[in-house]
Amino acid sequence: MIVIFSAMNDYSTFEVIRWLHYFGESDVVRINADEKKNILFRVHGNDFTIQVDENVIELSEIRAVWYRKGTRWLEGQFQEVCIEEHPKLTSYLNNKAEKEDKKLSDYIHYVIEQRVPVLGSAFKYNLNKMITLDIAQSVGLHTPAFYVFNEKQCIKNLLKGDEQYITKAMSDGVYLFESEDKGQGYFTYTESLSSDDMEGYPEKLSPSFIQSKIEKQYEVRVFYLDGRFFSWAIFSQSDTQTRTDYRKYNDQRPNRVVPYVLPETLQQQLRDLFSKIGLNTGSVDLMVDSQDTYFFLEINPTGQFGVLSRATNYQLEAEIARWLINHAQH
Amino acid sequence: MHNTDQCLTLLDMTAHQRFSLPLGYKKIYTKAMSSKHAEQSVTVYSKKYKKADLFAVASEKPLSKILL
Repeated sequence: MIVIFSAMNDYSTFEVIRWLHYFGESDVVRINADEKKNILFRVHGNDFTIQVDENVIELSEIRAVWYRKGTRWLEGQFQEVCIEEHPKLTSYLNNKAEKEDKKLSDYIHYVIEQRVPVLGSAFKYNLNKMITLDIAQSVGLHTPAFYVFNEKQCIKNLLKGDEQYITKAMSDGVYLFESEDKGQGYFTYTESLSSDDMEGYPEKLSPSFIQSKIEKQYEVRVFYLDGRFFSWAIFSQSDTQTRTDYRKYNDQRPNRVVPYVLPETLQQQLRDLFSKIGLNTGSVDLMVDSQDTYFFLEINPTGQFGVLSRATNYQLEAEIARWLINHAQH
Repeated sequence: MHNTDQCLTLLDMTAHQRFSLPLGYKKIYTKAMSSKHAEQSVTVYSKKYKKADLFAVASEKPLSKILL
């Protein structure tokens, strides 16, 4: 059995499963984090059997796992309580239930990662950008300078000079889908930051991430798969809509995207970076400036790659399916 | 709301709302999601299906509907 931990609405998971079936692997279970399901547990020491709806998953039968998205698939198994006239205790107990949930799912994923070939990680799916930048520097990668300020004056002082800056979330930013009925999503992107943007902000604001803006020739997106690189260059700099963040796709005039080969030195630095982080897959964002210097921006362990996979004909979904089949224990 | 292109729309927020958020959230966009997402909502599924069976019907229905 191959188990895929994913989320509803993740089309790449759908495609990978189709490839798995095409390659003859028919025993595949997908568990969506954001979907209501009936789960029964039988955990005994470092062995377990889990029944998800009608699917019985025994640890000994799991041959490979792909952590695509989402590890909070136990949500809802710990029931909410309400002890009337004790609101503080009620809140405390419900908070405890969330912690129990996390401890249990962490343990199950720990056992899986100890025993089974795993692509991705239940523990590294949400990297800290700033820590990753620091590790990237330690393996020799160039990174743009970054700052975190919560004083308006500090930000204004920074923005006074000639250098340009961007701002983005320290976490993943907003990536939220409404219910299917409403048919709407919410998103934030990397945005340019200038002194004018600071008008109206109070003297003390929420801590904000600011980074030197790289004047790019083009950007490079890399899908890393256990030592292999699938890279493409995105010529997003000439379009005002995509200049700061290519994900503000211009559907009328899409950015040119071409397959790209990374220099050997850069490949080794990225391998070192993934190794230090403890990940065997992820999407890497790079920028190339006018001096042909490569700047590392971030790794997204669960980034979307479907659109660019199709644009470059890398068939990454097939590559992932092959990895799972080739590494599956027999 | 302001149209920025055919897909992305800048969410209207009050000054107070916007200035309460970190700078990285100063612009939140909304986007209409396609009906394709309904197809993507493939649930837990399994198992032991022949690929010929799958691909015969996969183009017509989401796999979840076939396999569950």
